[in-house]
Amino acid sequence: MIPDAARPALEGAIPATICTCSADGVPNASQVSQVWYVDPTHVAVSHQFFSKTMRNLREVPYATLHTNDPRTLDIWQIKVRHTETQREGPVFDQMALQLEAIASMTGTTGLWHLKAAEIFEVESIELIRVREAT
Amino acid sequence: MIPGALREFLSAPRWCALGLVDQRGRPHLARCGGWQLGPPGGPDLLVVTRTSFLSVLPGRDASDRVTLLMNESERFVAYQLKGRGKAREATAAEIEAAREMMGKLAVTSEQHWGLPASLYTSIILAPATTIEVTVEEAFAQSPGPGAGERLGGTA
Repeated sequence: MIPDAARPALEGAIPATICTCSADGVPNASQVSQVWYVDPTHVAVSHQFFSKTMRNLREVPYATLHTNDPRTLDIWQIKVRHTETQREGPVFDQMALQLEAIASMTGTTGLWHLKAAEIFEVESIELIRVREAT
Repeated sequence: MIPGALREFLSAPRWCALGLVDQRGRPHLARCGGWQLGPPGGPDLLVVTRTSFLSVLPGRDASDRVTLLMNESERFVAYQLKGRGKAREATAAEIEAAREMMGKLAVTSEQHWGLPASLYTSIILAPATTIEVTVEEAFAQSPGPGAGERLGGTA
């Protein structure tokens, strides 16, 4: 279950990181523009430049995501399993809209074209605090 | 071996994430605090991370295959370095160098993104682990059509 406290980190405010691996055990890390809340047990990841990541997910469907709380930079570490690719629908549309907004703000229109929303089932989610408690 | 074109990129503070694979073949991630170029004849990079960020250790409960994602978020420039890694306890000098790098990263992030520098400078780094990384391959990872292009290496 995704806790409510994780929701600010699942709105695509800060780029996230995904790590996958090939069947022969070679890791691959990539930045992602968005990790998006879908429902209490699923997240979506924006698919823009994912050639190696997608090859790996076809071989080994598991991944680890790191996404930051934009207020504290604390890391939500999410262990996930890839379940499907969506190229249309409400999740895809919402993510595409936000990417357009990011592109507009950063002057990178055309760079962030969304190819798909990759849907993952959440296996575990853990908060990693990066600073001393205040 | 690190391709020459990357040495200048690596001479400045960058965001850094470490990717690992455990013995079940599952991928893991760890945020890194900083790095230094390795000594002549030794590993290419000495990457420092807070020990508690590591859910597995390369060469122990993870394989020695590692990947490093380095990025400069201000210009959307990123590279990925793949190779072999070995974990050991970080020295005080390595932790201090990593803190210094995070301090510089904090300044640029505050200027560019408006994120308070204190968010970075108060990140706890100790106890820390150093991953000695021997780079075998490097890839361009910046967003765009060149993403994934191999830059060269010793493999």
